[in-house]
Order: sequence, then structure tokens, then C-alpha cells
Amino acid sequence: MATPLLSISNLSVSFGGGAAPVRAVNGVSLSIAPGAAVAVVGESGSGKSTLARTILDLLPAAGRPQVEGRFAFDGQDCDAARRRSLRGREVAMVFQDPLSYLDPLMRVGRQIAEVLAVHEPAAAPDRVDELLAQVQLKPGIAAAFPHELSGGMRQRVMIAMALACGARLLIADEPTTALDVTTQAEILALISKLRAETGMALLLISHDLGVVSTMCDEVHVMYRGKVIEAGPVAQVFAHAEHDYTRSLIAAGSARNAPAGLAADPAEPPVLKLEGIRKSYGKGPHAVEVLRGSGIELRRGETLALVGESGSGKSTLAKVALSLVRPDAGRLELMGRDLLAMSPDALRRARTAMYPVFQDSSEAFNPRRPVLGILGQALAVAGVPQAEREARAIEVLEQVHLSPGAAFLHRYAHEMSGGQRQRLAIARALATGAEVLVADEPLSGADVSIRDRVVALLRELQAQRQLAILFITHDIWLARSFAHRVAVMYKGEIVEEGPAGEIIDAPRHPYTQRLVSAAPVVRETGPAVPA
Amino acid sequence: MQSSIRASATAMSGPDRRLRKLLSSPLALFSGGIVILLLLCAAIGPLIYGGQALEMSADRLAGPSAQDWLGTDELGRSVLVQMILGSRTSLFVGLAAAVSATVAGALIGAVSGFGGRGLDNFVMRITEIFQVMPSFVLAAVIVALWGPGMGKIVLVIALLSWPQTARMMRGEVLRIRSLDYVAAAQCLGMRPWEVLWREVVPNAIAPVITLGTLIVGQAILLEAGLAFFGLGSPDVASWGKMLNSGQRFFYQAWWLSVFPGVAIFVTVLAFNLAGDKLAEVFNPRSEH
Amino acid sequence: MTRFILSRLGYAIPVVLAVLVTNFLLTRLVPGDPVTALIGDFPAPPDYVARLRAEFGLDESVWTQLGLYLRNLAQGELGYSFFNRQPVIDLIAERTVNTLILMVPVLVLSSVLGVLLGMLAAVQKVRWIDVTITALSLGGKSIPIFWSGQVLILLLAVHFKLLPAQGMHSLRGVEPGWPAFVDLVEHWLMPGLIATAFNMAIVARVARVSFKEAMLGDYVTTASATGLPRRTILFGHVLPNALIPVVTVIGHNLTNLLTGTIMVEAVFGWPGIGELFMSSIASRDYPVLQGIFLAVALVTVLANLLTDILYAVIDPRVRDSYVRA
Repeated sequence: MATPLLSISNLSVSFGGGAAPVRAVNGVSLSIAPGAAVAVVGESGSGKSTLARTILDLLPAAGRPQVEGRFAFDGQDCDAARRRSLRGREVAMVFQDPLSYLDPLMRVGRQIAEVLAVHEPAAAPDRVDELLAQVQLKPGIAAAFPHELSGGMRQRVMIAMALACGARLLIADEPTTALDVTTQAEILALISKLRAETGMALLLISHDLGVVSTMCDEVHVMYRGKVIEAGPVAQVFAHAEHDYTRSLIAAGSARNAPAGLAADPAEPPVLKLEGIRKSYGKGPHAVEVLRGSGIELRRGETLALVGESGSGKSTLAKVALSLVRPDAGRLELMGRDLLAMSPDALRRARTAMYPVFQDSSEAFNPRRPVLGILGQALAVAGVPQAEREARAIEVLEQVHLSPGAAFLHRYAHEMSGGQRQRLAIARALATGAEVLVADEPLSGADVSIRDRVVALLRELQAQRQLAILFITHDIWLARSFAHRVAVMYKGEIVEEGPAGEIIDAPRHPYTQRLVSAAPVVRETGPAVPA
Repeated sequence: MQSSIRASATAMSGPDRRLRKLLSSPLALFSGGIVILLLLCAAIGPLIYGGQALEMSADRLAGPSAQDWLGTDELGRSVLVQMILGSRTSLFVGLAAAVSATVAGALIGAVSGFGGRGLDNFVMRITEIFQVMPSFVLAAVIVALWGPGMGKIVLVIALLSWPQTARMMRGEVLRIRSLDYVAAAQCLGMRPWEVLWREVVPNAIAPVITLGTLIVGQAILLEAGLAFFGLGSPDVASWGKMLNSGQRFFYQAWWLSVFPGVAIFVTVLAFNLAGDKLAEVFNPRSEH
Repeated sequence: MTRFILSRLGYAIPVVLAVLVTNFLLTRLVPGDPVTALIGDFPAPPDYVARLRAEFGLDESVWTQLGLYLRNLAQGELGYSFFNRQPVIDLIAERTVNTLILMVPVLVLSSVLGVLLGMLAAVQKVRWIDVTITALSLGGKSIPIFWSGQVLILLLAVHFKLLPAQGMHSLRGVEPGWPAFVDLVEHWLMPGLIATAFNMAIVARVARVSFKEAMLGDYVTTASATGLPRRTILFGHVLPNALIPVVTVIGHNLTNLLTGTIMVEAVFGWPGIGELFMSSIASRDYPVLQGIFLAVALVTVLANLLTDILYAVIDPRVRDSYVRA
């Protein structure tokens, strides 16, 4: 076997020092051959980003990192100083959120030129334009500031900066996570094209096995700082040994999908939106976010509203929850017109419906313990003060936070992401709501949490005949969880129907684009050979 | 990667950790100590020394000695006793002005941030006008025209300070009202004022109180400045007034000018330090 | 850019008007004859009093008077100070120049030194330097400036006889040219350095925090990862980003150009606007006070405009938000 371009052996990284350092990476070894594409997958906190940053000695000093292990580049041993000298010269890096990773005050052309000045001092003045052309951007882009570009364009600029280095290894840390699926597909294709042109090796850090399987030959699965599974992509997929790897595979394709519809289309809907219009701003700057969209949701069914960011799906959810008043249209909950009600009547009527937000510490009042949060919700359902504690424990155990009593006096920020998401569902149950509106409840959640929350929602739906409006950008999640799917594009519902039909055989061109761009776990290895 | 660092920090619950952080900081303890000492002086001082305040001795303009630690003034009164009596004025003006400015500013800011766009714009324009007016100039003019008096001085300082509090409160309310948990409270059918009072305000109040601590310092400085330039209340002992009357004996009796100034400096420093530490402890960014 | 400046100016006019109206009403609140408010406590010739009565319509309602007052202002008619025996406008112009002589070096020095100190505290890794700079800046903010001025006079002028204690020029004549300049600098040193220390403390505090935050910016990671040298990162990326909050503070110091040194001027007898203000308060010279208010309002508006322009120059995002708005 030829000398690997980069080899890492027995790497451990811990933070904080003192008596109880936090060990982020624990005895990881991997090597990358020249021109190869290797992936590291794992959920947030698995140590994959720490691993990537250690290669160029980029860990923030404030965390007091301690690094043990050996690095070799081109067969030569590298200490921290030597790894720093690789920066830009031999190894380039692309990060997740190109808006914050580009200097907001400097034109992007100058940022690229600055890198050129270090690594290619003799470069011709039009070299920047050449690099922009290589990442399929017009030369005029050089004069733009980062905030004037779209997310995809910014990521292309980041890639151009990496190319300006002329590096032999590209480390891409979640390069497409902040992007929409169609943009993601373009960026991935661009990276593959550039690799074919330059013979650059790739170390891809990702949480998405779909992305990995389209890009890489070899995959390392990281879990809690350790590599739990490694090998050629096809082999790992075919013979996944760990539960974690298996749930990763399931998340990137449609498995365990419910069959058929849950509700009779003739039954009256519990939630109905019709011809909803909403614009923001005035005059020539007005932006029409919703252009006559409507949905119907029936008892016991899950309707997934899918679309990319900016499609208006979150605004529609806010309209449904009466948090945003539409300019025109009808909103009915349990057959009653919410828009025509007095504020007092609306306050009483709206409690038949409750939101479950994306997990964050912002979903709960930081000053209320769990008992306070659930107590408020139970009060709405008319539970008398004396019974609230007992009922709160009951509800907590329904969402598998048990023993419930142990959670009553905790604060949301003291709980893990998965526990918090179940608390959000518990709060919705406590109000006695029959309709749940879940706005991206699982985006940002790791697959292991995702599976458990989806299972919980299904279980509760079966018990209580809950109607769930599920807003998501993840096609496979919609396919595996929802009975019906509505696709939203530029403020309109362009296609709607049973999940199987819409996603397996899309008819509208936009849906087709959305589905084909969504990376699916291919068990045969990468589509583009390295 | 940072989440793992943060995870270890969130192991201890919020209030506990903050208190521990405060108690472990020598600067915070210093400023707390000074404030407690001042409160004691202001509360007990007049009871002990009240009768001595006007007691004159034959030792006029005597320098610091074993008998009069900080010397005596032109009437032979002890500088130390006068300083202890003056602490009451500084603290009263500082605290009263800061409390009234904070309460008024917080109420106005909360309503401005939670109310409609029109009301908000109106209130913000008013605070802007207050902010471009130089506070010492206005305070001096108002006091000069209305005549001096403790109550008036407190009122003037509060009048000049509430806009900063209002702007901060409004900013916090605007930030918090867009958080998911406020939407969740609305969906529980809470009334708007209930949401504001029970969900938003309790989470917005910490930085406002921190600012209030800084206003105490500003107010004490402002009061001392007014008194120094002869615009103070004539019938009350105060540090600024001591400096003002010390000016006449500037070249003979330095102690009349130096010690009250040190007292003002240390007091203002203590409140500024306290505000600084509180801001650090309450700032969510400082947690990682 | 022109449109941007015009829109900012349009925004400023109501502020100036509001300040003027408030001040007008404030002086009208004083008990006593409005004539006193217009000429001060100084006995004025009766025919001047009669002329004023006609000019300001003192028998008319407050609002008519306000209108007349504003009209006179617009014509540059600020009145006459009997106390100083000079038209108010000349007096203010003369004193403004003196204040600028004191304050312009102060603003430049305090901004540059403040940024450098803040940067030093944030960037270097020796903890005691950071702690010292933080302590100094917090102390600088807490010192009563009128008092520290006195202590300095006591030490440097009275005790060691190094520097002149009062005024802007030596009373004994000095030859023009170089000796006069040296004389001016000697007089500037104490008030100038005290005001510099105070302003610098404020700038350094903000600069320290904003440098710390800018150094944690993700773009710094990018710059490091592309192998840029540390100096390029520090001066090319961290410095401009860290300056944004600092501009606010420098703008605030600029706003206080005329009034920030009232206490320093009064203590050191520097014949500037601040000293004029204190003496006019003592002598109840209302025409001068109202003139000072106008000057302060104008400086404030100009300073805010300058700050906004500076923002737009540094931050392209700000530029865009104004173009859109």
C-alpha cells in the first residue's frame, strides 16, 4: 500500500483539564490515501468536528484542549507546529455556515486574493476570477460582500478559497448542513467535479449518511468520541453491526413508513386553512410569503408540510396557531372560524391546538421548572391545583420521562435534547389539545433521538387520535412518519396527497427536483468514482 | 465540540452557579463590602455623630492627627464625622434616583416593546431626545432654575436616567417576545398582559437591574458634581459640598479636598464593579 | 452616499427642534419676568428691553413667543450678553474655538490609545496585563473628574510647581510663535490628560470586550485554516470587526465634545464653552445659556451624523440597510 497522505493514530482530545476533563475524542485512528474520499459520520457531540479541527491545530485555546496521538502527513511526523504549517498549503478546510465563516466586512474577492497572496504570491491578477469560474460563479461576485450572497454562493466562495491554497487535502466540516437540499446537491456535485479535476483528497465530516454515500469510498462512524465502525461504505451499510449505524441508515431512506391513509377524506377536518394570504412589508418592498395556501387535517392523521427554507411553511404554521394574522383566508379549528372570533373567544378556542417547536432552550421559560411548565398547561385543561402534581407525573410518564417525579423540579436547560423534546410533547398533551402543530420539531436532533420521538408521537397518536401537522424540510422523515404530504413552494401548496404517492412518484416538477436532490443512502457506494 | 464544554457547565443549575461565581470573585466581595459599610455609615452614623455634626473645636484647619484622623475644617469640625454624615446624602440620592429611574424605565420600556409599532416609535423618539441632551448641562440648568433641594436633585437625575433603562428593557422584551416559549404561552390562551408580566418581564429584568447598579454610580457622581459647583442642597451635608467648601482652603488644607473625593471615588467604583460583575454573571455569553 | 447623508440629516432636524423647544419652555418655567429670561439678571438699558418686548411678542401667548424665538434663531439672532458685554454669537464662537483646542487632541488621543489598550488587554495572553487594564479603565470611569483635577493641581502646580494651574495662556505675555505654542501645550497638559484618561477609560473597556468577541469569530478560524499569518488576521480581520462597537463609544465622546469637559474647564479655568456655561449659570445669563443649548444641539446632531457615516464606511451591512430603508 502507498504512503497515506494523512494518517492519524490513536488520537485523543480532551477539554477543560483539571480534575474532570471532558474527553471529546478517544483513541481514534484513520488514514487517507492520496486522492481518496473518506467520511466521518456521527451526531453532534460525537467528536467528529473536534477531530477535524485538531488536524490543523484549530481548537480554541479557551477550551484548554489536550491532544495526544500521532499525526503523519506524507509519511512525515507532525507535531502541532508542523500541523499549523500545513494550513492552506497542503490542507484546506470548508465549514458549515459560510455566513459566519466569511469576514462580513470584506469583499469576497479580496478574501480569496488574500489567501492567494500567501500561497501563490506570483499569481496573476485575474487568478481570482479564474477561481470563481472554477466554482461556477461570475467574476462580478468578487465585489460582493458575504451578506449579499445566497448560502450556496457563499459556500462556493469558501471552496474557491480552499482551491486558492492549492491544497492536496480538503477537510469539509458539514459543508451542506446549512443549505437547502437542491443547493446541497449542487455543492456536492461541485466538490466531486473539483476533486476529479485536481485529484484532491477529501475528508468529509457529516451527520448525513445520504451525503456520505454519494461522496465517499470509506466511512468511519463515530459515537461518543470513538470510532465504532469503519470500512468501505458498501460494506458498512450492508453489515452494520451497531444500532446507532443502523438508525443512521434508516434516517437516510424511507423505512417503516405507515401504509395508506389514517383518516377518511369524507370526514370533516379538525383543522382547515383555506386561501391564506400573508405579506410582509409595504409598497414596492412587500414580500408575499403566503399566496393562497390551504390544508386540511383530520383526526388521527399526520400531514407533513414539506418545503425549503423561505417556502412559507413556518408562516403557515404560525397562521394555523393564530400567532400571525393572515391578510386573507379562512382558518377553522374544530369547525369554528377562528378569524371571526373576539379575542376572548379566541383565547378559549385556541387551546384545542398546541405547538411543539424545534428543540432549543428557547422553547421553555427558563425560570419555570418542569412542574411549573406542565402546571400552566394543566390549568388550561381545567385540572384543579391539588391534582396538578399527580397529573404532571402521569403525563411525564406517558412520554417516557420516568420516573416522572424525578423531573418535576428540574429546569428545561438541565435536560438533554431528547428529554426536552419529550417535555414539549408532554406539555402539549397536558393542555388536552387534540391537534399538534410541530414546526421542525426534529431538525437539529440526532438520529437516535429522532427515532425515539417519532415512535412516541406515533404511539400517542394511536392512543388519542391526535391530528398532527408536521412541518419539515426532510423528505425522508416526512415519508417515514406522515400519512399525507403537502409540498410547499413560494407560498403555495404545489402538490398534496398520500405520502407514498407524492414522494415515491412525484408529479409536480418542483417536488421531483426536491426528491431527486435529497441524498438517499445508496448501499452500492458513491455515484462519482474518486 | 463546544456543546461538550457547555454540557459540563450546565451541570450546576443557574442561580446556584451564579451565586457561587459572585462569591468566588474578590472584586465582587470588595464592592459588596464597601456597599455594606456605606449602608452602615448612613444608617448608624447620624445616630452616633448626629450631635457632633456642628460641634466646633478650637482646632481649625488642623491636619490629620491621632485625635482627628482626617483633620478638621475651617470651623474646627471633624472631617471624618462630616464624611460619615455625608454618606447618607450620596447613598440616598444614588439609590433613590436609580430605583425610580429603573422602575419608570422598565415599565415604559416593557410597554413600548410589547405594545404596537406606533407607541414603540413614539417612546423611542422621546428617549433619543433625552439621550442627546447632555445630562450634566440639563441637571445644572434645572437645579439652578428651580432652586436646589434633595428631592429635586433625585427627580432630575431620575428624569435623565430612565431613558437608558427604557431602551434596554425594550430591547430585552423585543428579543424575548420572539422566543418560542412566549408563543407557547400565547397558545395556552394567556392574555397579552399576562404573557408580558409572567413570561417576558421576569426574564428581562436581570440586565435592567445590572444597569440600575451602574446608574447608582452615575447618580452619585452627578450629585457630587452639582454640589461641587455650588448647586447642591444647602442644608444637607454631602461629600460634594465638602469639596466645594474645601476649595477655598485648597492651598492650606489639602485634606478637606482629598478625603471626600476618595470617598466618592471608592463608592462609585464599588457600584461600577458590582454592575460589571453582575453583567458578567448574567450574560449568557460568558457561560462558555 | 449623498442620499444616505440627506436621510440622516432629515432625521436629525426634529431632534434639534425638540431640544430647542424643550429648552425654551424650560427657561419659561422660571418664575419671574420673561424679560429676565431674555437678558439675564444684569440691568439692561430700558430701550433694549422695549425692543425685546416687541421682537419676542412678550404680551402674546407662549406659542407665539416660541415661534418668534425660533424665527430669530433661524436668522442667527441669539441676543446680547450684558454680563460679558458681547453679542452671544461672538462669545460662543470664541469659546468654541478654545474648547476645540482642548478637546480635539483629547478625542484623537483617547480613541487611538483606548483602542490600542483594549486590543492589548484582549489579545495578549498574560493575565495581569488584562486585569490591570480592566481595573484602570473601571477606575477611570469612577473618578470624579472635578476632584482628580484638583488633586493634580495640588500636586503638579502647587507642590512641584511643574505646570501652570489655571487658564489657557500665561498672564505674563509670551512671544508669539514657538514660545506661545509651548505655553499653550503646558497649559493643555493637565486638563488635556485628565480628559484623555477619562475618555480613554470608556473606549478601552468597550474595545477590550469587542476585541475578545471578534477573536472568537468564525471568520478568524477560516483565516487561520487558510494559513494567513497572525498579523494579517489581527489587523485585517479582527481589528475592523472589533471597531464596530467602538465607533459607538467614540461617537458618544464626540457628542460630548462641548459639554464633556465642563468640569475640567471649570476646575482648570480653561476659557471654553464649559467654563462659560458654569459662569453663566452662576450669573443667570440666560441669553448665553440658550446660545449654548443651540450649539450643543448642533454638535450633537453633527456628531451623530459623523458616527452614522463612520458606521456605513466600516460595515457594508449597515450601508445596505440604509439604502433599503
